[in-house]
Amino acid sequence: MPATAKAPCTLPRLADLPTYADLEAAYYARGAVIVACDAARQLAVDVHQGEHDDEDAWLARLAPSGSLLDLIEPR
Amino acid sequence: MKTLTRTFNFASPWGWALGLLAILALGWLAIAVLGGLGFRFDPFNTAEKRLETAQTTAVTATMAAGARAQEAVGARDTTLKGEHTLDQVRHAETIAAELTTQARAAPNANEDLDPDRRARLRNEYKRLCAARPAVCPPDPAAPGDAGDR
Repeated sequence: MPATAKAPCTLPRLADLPTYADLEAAYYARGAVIVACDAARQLAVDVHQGEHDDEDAWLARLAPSGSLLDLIEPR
Repeated sequence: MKTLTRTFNFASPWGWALGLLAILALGWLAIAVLGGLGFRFDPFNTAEKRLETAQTTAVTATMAAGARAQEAVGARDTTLKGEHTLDQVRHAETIAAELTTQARAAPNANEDLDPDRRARLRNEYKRLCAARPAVCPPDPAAPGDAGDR
């Protein structure tokens, strides 16, 4: 699993004495964090699904007769 | 025969051993001759066992090689997806940075928020942190602070 997908999301916070610009900046920062978190979530889902697809493909290669010899003696 | 029995006393232990050795030699010779004619003397079926072992080894090696190849393809795919994700993250951060710069240039940019609004915003942050502590950096000055003055 890539580090990008494992890193926790971070909630931007305002300064103790925020100005209007700080408030607006926090709004933009939170939007960017939402995009980053969703991209990381999608990456985690895709990697997880990709692993399962690889396993299924591998098992499908073994499936025709159930014999491991199919791997070296394809029918 | 008399000469033979005179030379080797088969009634003695030395003679028995010699006789046994002769029988073994004859047996080995017979097996070698029959082997040359195509007969196989394999009472313990070792050839088949060796074949099974070789096949098992070949299957294991083929499986391992296939798995490694599939892992390599998967790793490349994951790397590409990771790069795509980072591109999206950087793009979002660029948008936020550009708009923040514009916000800092606004006429009322440096006006403080009124105390009630500040309290509500601080309260919201605390409650969200309580709901999911992992999303809140332990140090207020750590990355994630949107007050990027």
